[in-house]
Amino acid sequence: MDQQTVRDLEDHRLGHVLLLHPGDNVVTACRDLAAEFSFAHHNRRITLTDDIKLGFKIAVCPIRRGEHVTKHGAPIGSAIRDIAAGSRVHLENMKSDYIPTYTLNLSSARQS
Amino acid sequence: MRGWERADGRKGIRNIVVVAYLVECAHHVSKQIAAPFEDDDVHVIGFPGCYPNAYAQRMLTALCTHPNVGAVLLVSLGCEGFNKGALENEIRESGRPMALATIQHDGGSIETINAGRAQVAKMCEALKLQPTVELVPGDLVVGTICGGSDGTSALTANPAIGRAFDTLVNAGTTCIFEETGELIGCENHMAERAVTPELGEAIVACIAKAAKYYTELGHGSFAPGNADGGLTTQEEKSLGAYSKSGSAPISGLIKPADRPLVPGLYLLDVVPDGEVRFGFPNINDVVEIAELIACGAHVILFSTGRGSVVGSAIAPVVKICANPETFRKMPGDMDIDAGKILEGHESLDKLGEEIVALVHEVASGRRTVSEALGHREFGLTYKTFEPTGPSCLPAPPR
Repeated sequence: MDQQTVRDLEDHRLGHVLLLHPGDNVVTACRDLAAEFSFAHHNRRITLTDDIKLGFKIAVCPIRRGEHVTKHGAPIGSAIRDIAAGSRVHLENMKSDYIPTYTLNLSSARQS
Repeated sequence: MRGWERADGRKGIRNIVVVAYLVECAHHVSKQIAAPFEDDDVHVIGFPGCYPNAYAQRMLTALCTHPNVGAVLLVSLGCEGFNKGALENEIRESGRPMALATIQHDGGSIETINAGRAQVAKMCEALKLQPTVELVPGDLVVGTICGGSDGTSALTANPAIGRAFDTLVNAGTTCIFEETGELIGCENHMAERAVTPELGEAIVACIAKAAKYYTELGHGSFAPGNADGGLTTQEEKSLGAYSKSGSAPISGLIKPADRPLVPGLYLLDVVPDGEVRFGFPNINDVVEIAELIACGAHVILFSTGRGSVVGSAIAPVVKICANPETFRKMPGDMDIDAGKILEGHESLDKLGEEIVALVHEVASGRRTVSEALGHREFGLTYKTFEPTGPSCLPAPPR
């Protein structure tokens, strides 16, 4: 896909989801989005399977278990199960390749 | 772009008189000397410590000989440990007009203030007569920092600064990004962007040093609240800050007060070498900005989500507001509204172009909002650094 087409698609999604780098396999929600919301990506239509809150990531293509999740043009961790296009991508289906993420549960357990 | 050429051949975008105190005890007298010159470019900087420190010495030397600085008045109490003779020599060798006031020798506070004001008035007059010269993109050095970050920083302001950096580096401008403690998890990606494998190894070692330093201080970066906001991993959080660097090859790894001699993109290592001493590497954003300026930065691009208000002595700070809500709350402190990306009014590429255009205007004399408001913050603390390794810098041009 040429750069202009990528930009046109990026413009098409302005205000709903943000593609931070042309090669990324996730986009970020710019506002709270309901399941069934759909948008165009690389000439394909992606329909959300979950409600997605502002700041959360959405898969824009199938991501297989073990594959890198890429955002900002770089890996941010790996899928721990197969992720379908349109799904939320977060702690439930990916992990850091670097250091385990402290979740709220772990943190409150530590405090008590 | 038009600026002022110094005797050493470097060009500045401001023509500032610096009043520098060499110990905290000379700070008040320095402020009083500068007070009548509120509307002129007379900026107060200094080092509060009484005990000498090689890093602080290098920092003040680099700042007093910064291309935005046209003349310098040093203010000493008289009994502090700072090596003022060495600083004085370096400034004189740079060809700048300079003077040294020593409070204990010059008759105390009032005498020193009066004599200092007369010196500064003379310097201001002389600088006003200095003709301007044309600046090309290759003369410029631009630094970037994020402070008061929130979830929007990584989505709007930071990647927009990255796009601006790509354009600037392409045009021959030197760009510097920093805060190695916030780049943990990005080291392998940075190493791949390094212009030589040796530089890549040095970057990986530098991030390992930062991770060790912060771990010893008990100061982790990823907080549970980050996951509530949609961030999943440490490397994802780091990439948000890292995206300010854009995608150009990384030409070198520098330490505070190192000056890149070859244009390109540089990473500034701000974490001290050796065992943990003197507390946190950087106690606030202001001291980080001072380090970028000491590396030669003429302009600072400051990304903020929560809403920082700071400016800086010596170099103008461009405030790029990541969060549309923050921009609505404090528009008078922001130069650029990057949050409009989230509301669908702008693309990252367009915003990058807007930032580059503003950099060129600021380098042509346009005042940033923090400059116009009189923000001239400055801070300098104790640190320890070893000299920069040979693999970290590209060979200077012959």
